[in-house]
Amino acid sequence: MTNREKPIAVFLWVWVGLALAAYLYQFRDMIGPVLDLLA
Amino acid sequence: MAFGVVLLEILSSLGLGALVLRLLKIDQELSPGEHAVFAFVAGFGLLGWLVFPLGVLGLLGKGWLLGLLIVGAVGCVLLKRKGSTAPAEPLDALGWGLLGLVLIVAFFDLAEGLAPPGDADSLAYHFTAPKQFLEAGRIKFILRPVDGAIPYLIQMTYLPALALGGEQALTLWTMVSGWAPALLLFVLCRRHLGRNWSLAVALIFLTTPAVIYAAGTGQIEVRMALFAMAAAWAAARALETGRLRYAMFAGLIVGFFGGAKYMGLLFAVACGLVLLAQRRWLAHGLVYGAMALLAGFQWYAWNGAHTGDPFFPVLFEWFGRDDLLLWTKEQDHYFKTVYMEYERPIPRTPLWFFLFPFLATLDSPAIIEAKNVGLGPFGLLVLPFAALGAWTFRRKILGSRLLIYTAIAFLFYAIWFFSGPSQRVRHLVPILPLLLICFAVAAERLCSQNRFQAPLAAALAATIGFQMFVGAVVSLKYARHIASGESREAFLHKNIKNYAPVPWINANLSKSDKLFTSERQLFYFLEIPYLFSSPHTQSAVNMREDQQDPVVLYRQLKAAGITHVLSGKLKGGETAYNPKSLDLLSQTKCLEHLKSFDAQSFGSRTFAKSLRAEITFDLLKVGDEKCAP
Repeated sequence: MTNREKPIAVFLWVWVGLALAAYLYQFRDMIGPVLDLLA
Repeated sequence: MAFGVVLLEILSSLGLGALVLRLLKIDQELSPGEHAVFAFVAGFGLLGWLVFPLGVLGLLGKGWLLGLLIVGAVGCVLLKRKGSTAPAEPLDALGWGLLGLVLIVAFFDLAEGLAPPGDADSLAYHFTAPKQFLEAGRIKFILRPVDGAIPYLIQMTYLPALALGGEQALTLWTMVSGWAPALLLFVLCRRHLGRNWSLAVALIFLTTPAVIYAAGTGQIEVRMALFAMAAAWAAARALETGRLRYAMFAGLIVGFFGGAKYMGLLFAVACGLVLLAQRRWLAHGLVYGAMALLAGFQWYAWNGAHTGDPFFPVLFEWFGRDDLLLWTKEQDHYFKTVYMEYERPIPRTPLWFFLFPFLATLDSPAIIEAKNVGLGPFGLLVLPFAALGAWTFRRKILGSRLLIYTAIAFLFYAIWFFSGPSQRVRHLVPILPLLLICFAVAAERLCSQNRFQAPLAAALAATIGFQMFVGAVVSLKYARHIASGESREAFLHKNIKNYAPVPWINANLSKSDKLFTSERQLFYFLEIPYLFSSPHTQSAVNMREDQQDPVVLYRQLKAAGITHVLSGKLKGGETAYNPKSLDLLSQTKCLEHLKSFDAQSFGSRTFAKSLRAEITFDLLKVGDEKCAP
């Protein structure tokens, strides 16, 4: 990986992490029902 | 029996489609696998198209439908057996892993296909209308907006399955036709991507929450993705080759799309606009339009003949008939100002046009159903990869097929956002495969030289992992049903909202009775006539809050032929019926209490145990003329 690509790679990792967290956050109220169902 | 009928319907679709491809001479360039999948798409649409004239002529008997399937299946002799397929290399470990996940999804979906139907929209009309048509032996006009007087081309393919193989064949057929878009997506991806990538994209599509929700039900958006992909491919080939046959095929397929849902007309415009961007625009435009008209006109003519408005109720205020008891001009105005605005909570401005996908992915209003029935996280996670890939290879994009797919999908989204009747995100499922292909190819190209592969792999793994988990959670109820061997009735009591009154009503009321109810998910199971009591979708009995006169209500119930009213109250909650006119009438002898039922209401079938409310339903008998409210 070139020096020019390194910051892009960091940006992509941060994007994936934050976007996934933001997406999953909306399902926080589903944790209880899902656990009930699996139990 | 059910499996045999579904197999015959698959063969019929393949055969009819192979005939279309041969007539249009577009089978030569396709490999046997591609040929079979494109044949299924064309045949699926043609089968739905052919059932319509049988229905209008009153020929919806088992013999005619079986004959149609057999005649269609004969066309399988035209399927290609030899072609230009390159010898397949063995799958690597990743490929086996992805294939294993696809098989797990197939197991989930088979469990759903073997279980009784449970989706509310399917039970309100996708399955109920075919059932009514079969009972009548002909297509009946259903005067109700949104889920009555609509195009039914896809639901017409449900008729042979239901007639010949019963309910089991019907649900298995929806499973098969719900899987077909994933196969077509795989085939289209293979033109641009390796096998593992194509498998991953197909898996992401199959496990998209909106696809998990709808593919195994009677809902049609997933099946319409077949038409969107095939039409986009044909439009691209028309632009690449300049040949009219591809424009004809694109027109035929968008005609089927329009025959399946009004939204298909928006896609026909988007696809047509892209097709016109060439030197032979006039010739291509004419054959495209003619084929689209031929393939799509049926249900517009049918609904127009019965209401005056071919696009009922879009143009009803101008062209609608004035002699319809269930739908007046005043009702039409009420419906459009109250109900339709409720379906579009996001302002239709240029700013929200660009923000809508983010809102729909991260934090959306409940009415657009984007949280539980959305398009998943893939688009958001892969967005920067796709954008960087598109920028890096921008010179190659010009003239590429992917640019055509992007243009069609973008135009459709724009037309849908600014003029569509509803902002429910699942209505975008038909163009989701086009988005998946373009995003996947752009991201793959960016990362193809050992760059940025780790974060992209993480994004894909997170998407697949999350969506597989959702698929497993949703499928648990079907797997438990199959494994436990519980009866159909037991499954329905557990999974159909407010199902409790149905067995008693079917056992004790007759065809000469008529039930008035707001529980549309019960329509499929009711064996007696009924009228949907929503104040939005009928004007025969005014159930709006502002109409509080019980005398008016009684007169309207009698005029509509209603003999019984089914109305619910939350246990421990309200003590009066809604609306007030019904409550006042229930205090007279004109509405006598006949029986009560303890029922369960829930917003989600998957979480029916933890998110439910206890409801008491009362069955009320409408008194005779002597009661005088």
